[in-house]
Amino acid sequence: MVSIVSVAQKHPSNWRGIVQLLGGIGRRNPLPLVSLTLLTIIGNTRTGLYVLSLGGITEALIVQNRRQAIMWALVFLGAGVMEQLYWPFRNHLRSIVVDDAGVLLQKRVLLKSAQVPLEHYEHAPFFNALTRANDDLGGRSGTIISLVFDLLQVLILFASILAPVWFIDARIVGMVVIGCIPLFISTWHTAHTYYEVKTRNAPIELYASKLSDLILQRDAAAEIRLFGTGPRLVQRWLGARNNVAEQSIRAVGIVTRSQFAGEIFVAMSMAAAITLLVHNLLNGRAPLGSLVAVVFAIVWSIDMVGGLAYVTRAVRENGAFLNDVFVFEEEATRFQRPAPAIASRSTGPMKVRLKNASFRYPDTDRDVVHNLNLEIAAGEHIALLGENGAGKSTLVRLIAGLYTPTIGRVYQDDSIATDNRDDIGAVFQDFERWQLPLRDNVGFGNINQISDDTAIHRALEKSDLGNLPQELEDGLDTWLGREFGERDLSGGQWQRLAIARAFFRNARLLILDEPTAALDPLAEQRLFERFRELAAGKTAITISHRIGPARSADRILVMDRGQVIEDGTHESLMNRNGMYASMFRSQQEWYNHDSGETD
Amino acid sequence: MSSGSNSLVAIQPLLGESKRSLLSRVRSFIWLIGKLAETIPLPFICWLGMNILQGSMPPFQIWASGKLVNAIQVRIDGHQANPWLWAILMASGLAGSRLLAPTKSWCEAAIHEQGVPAVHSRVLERTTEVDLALLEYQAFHDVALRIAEQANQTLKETLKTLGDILTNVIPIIGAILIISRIHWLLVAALFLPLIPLLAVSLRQGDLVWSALSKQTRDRRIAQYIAARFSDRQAAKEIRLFGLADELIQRWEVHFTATRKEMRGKITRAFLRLQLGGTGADVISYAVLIWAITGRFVHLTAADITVLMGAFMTIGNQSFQLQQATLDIGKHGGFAADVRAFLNLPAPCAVIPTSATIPPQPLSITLDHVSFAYPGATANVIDDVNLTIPVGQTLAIVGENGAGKTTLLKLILGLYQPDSGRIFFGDRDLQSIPIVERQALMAAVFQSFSRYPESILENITIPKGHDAAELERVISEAGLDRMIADVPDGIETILSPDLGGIDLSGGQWQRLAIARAAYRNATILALDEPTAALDPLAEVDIFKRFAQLSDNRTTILISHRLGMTRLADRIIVIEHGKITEDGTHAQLLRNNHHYAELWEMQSRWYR
Repeated sequence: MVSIVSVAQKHPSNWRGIVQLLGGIGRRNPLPLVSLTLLTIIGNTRTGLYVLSLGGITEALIVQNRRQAIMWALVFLGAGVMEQLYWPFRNHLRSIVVDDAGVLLQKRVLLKSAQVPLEHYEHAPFFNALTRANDDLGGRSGTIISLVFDLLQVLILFASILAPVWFIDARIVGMVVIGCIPLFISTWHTAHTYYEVKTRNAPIELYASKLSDLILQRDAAAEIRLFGTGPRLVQRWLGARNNVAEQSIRAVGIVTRSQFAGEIFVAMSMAAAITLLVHNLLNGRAPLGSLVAVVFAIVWSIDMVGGLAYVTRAVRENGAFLNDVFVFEEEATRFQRPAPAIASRSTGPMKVRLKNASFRYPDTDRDVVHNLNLEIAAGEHIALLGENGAGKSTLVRLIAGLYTPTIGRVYQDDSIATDNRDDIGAVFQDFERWQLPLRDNVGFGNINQISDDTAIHRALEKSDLGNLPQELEDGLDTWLGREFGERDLSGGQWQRLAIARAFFRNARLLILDEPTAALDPLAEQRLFERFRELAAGKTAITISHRIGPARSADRILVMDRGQVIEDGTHESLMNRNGMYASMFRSQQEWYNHDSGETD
Repeated sequence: MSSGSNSLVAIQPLLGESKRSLLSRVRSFIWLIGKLAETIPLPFICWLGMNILQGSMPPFQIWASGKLVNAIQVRIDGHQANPWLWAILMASGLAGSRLLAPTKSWCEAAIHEQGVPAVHSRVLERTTEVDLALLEYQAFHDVALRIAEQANQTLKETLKTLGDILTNVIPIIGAILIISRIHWLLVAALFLPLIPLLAVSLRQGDLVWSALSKQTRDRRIAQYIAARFSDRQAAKEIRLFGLADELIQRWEVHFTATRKEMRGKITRAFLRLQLGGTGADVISYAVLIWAITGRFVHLTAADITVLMGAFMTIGNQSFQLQQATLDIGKHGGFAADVRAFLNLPAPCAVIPTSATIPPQPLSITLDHVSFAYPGATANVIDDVNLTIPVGQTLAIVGENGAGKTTLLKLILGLYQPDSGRIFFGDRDLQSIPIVERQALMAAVFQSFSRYPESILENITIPKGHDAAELERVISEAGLDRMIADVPDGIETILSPDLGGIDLSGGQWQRLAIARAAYRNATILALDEPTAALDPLAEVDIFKRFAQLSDNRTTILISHRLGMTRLADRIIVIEHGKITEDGTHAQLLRNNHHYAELWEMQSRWYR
């Protein structure tokens, strides 16, 4: 996608970010970082010892010198023990450093994102920066740290393998190093070409993954079968894949040619190195036993070159995300709002006032809520009606303090509205199905009481889920949802869980977004009753999707294009004969015909 | 006896995890490789050849190095010999292995890019063809998802495993042959100590594996929690309920806690594993030095050179071979799953027929039909008898979970009844070919599809264009205004991620209605067609309903009794049985469940 490309191009080098990250880890927890660095440097000299002792043993065996053979065998075994200790300890230390990196970066982004006002989530540049920065940040920062140490490791290995050869004939080392340069360059380009192809094909990959999701998720399964769309979808998926494949294979073709050219140089340098070696052997300048060791050193060191180029490249490319983090932090700091103090704790239902309040999303030019003046008395029950897109959800978000008005003011009681308070409860239409234990799904309503089992059971009972904990294996601590749990709930149960969450909160103002999903009439009826219980003694604002039930509210507000166009009781609005009356009648029509027959 | 339990028998091998013997896993591994090879034979054979060649280079080079040492020694002793010939052979062994690599990776890329998707697409295809009730069965769906999600990665790894085995086994076999030609006792000395080591490694490997998979779960939970912070929906609740601190703390716990706990365990397991390796090395070297310097075997410098080269080669490759062997077991399990999955019966496979039968209006008869979901004991539909005459509009009413949608899917032939039969006219539904059924019936399901394609494609899929027909359904579904408003008209792509736009829930629903109408089927089923609409839009669709159901047999499920009362006939379903059957007026007079529901809904509007 465009964004990925632009980021990759904007910042070709990420070494500065990596150094910053390492500095951060060092300040946080220096010991593992330092130990890991030392271990990497010391531990990887072992390969040189292998080469040295391999030559030593071979020569000692040829000349039948048992003492020498044992000595060199001990060196070889020593290098072996070194290696065998190296890997576990390196992995151990690396895992600590990698975790430090993850915690350091991701926590920073999480904290920062939680301080950004909600309306910016609708602002594409910010939201994209957030998504990109936050996506598996913990994992990715670990990867980059691992790569940095891999790079150090490969460098030391390369040097230590060639060091013993240097003493036999420095020209051999020179040959190998020079011969490897073209390969290094071509491997470097290889990594780059793959990256480019991958970036360019991201939209097609996305399309293919959307298709395969559609095929695999059960939602569309019935339609796919009845309409016979399966073959078409699979064919399109394969088409998209083949489209990517064509480009990838073409890229691989180019890469193969340049790799091949690199390998020809390597082959030539190998031939030259071996010529030198044989010369030395024939002249008696090197012992016969050194042949095996030098050949292995040549093979190993050349193997390292590919790895060296690859890792160097990978460090740069994987480091690109560090930029995303910096971009996000810049964006977030721009929007960050100092958390206002929580209003002094009052009791009883909340009152709400909007004064000339308008709201538009960042970077848009249309008010979603326009110049609204509204007062909601303490304890009043409001039904909010209107077509999709009329501004109902925006209005309740302003009232809840989730959005800040662009112009004008919103007051909760007598202070400026904020979302940083503990006396507003809400059940949103798109409530969250927390893929966490049952306890959290209720307890998140009032985090301070999350360990209070009795209170949680009470909230569950009030929302008709009293039996749920007994049905579950681990009671309140059962993980819910398909993500990590064994047990998924039905749509209705998740809905009631969201209500339980609201029950669990000691709210003075309650916001309820009724579900439009297919609830059967009885279930819907029960839901209305729950809502009513929940709202008793509180100020309540209900976004209503059924016009009939809205009539029982104290006051009905009808919204259209960001404004409240009607405001009153059912009777007054029916008399007014405006939008509410016409909506009501259009529904009534379906129910009142022949209604005489009921009696 | 029920189809539900029958189909469960078919998927049993997929549900019972890791019960497969090693032999069957290896067989499946080979089978899967065969599938890959079959889709793209030429690059595969080329790739195979490259691996075999590459694998035989090290033994060749070791053999040449022995000859080289021998020739040098002869030359030093002042005799006639040509070391340069052997030097060239040895160098070409080294260079050959390098020069083969780019071609090998080219072949590998071709298999990755073309062979792997071809096999992967068969899994996707089979997902659209297996029995619907089976796919909806949770345990099976999990398996299907797992196979499809892992297909790409695991197929590539499977190929890599085969390559690793070839490039490691061949050098080791070569090295053994070379050593055994020097002295067979040396083979025993070098290999016997490896046997206990392998046993240790298998056990420790399991230990590490289980520790790692525990970490994976915690990591996934941490990722899930972190992702809530960039999720619009969750962001609301995080702010309103003040959850940020709590969630960040939990993120850290899941991100690090298990890792801290497991770190020590893994390190210790690795240490044991590695030190076992050192022990084996000590024994091998002791035997070697004792045997050679004690002159129990007499070896030349060339022999010793070859021996040490072979010994190093074995040491290098055996670790990788061990890894690859473990991978066969792992990927063999996956291969067996894929095999079982692709062998499942495919009742919904589209088999094109040449004969196109013009759809005839048909009556529908259900004769003692019962149905239970796979794995469930209770019947969802219990002994239902029902006849729907040609052209009738039938409404099905009932609570959620009563069996309405199940009944509809049985009538549409998407589920097979466990007992009883369904007739279209006088033909048994089971005997009607799938293509003919598809021409006969259309539906708007509760969970209709949202194709990431153009508006046009969303309506016409998978049929061709018919301009006049298209215009008709667009206006019938009330989509004209939306299409006029969007940037590319009917060609607009419906996916914001792909540079298109998104529709509201209501607009998607209208699109689903248009898609069903476009098929011009004689039987039309509508399952909650207005669920996502606001009240005014709902009324609008209600008004179009008469037009949609005109000239068709129509089956409607809706909770909005204001809509269902328009039907010619209403049936009420409770616990899988039809409890009421009649017109709106008749059912009101019956004064049962329907009347109660009607009362509940209509009183708001009095």
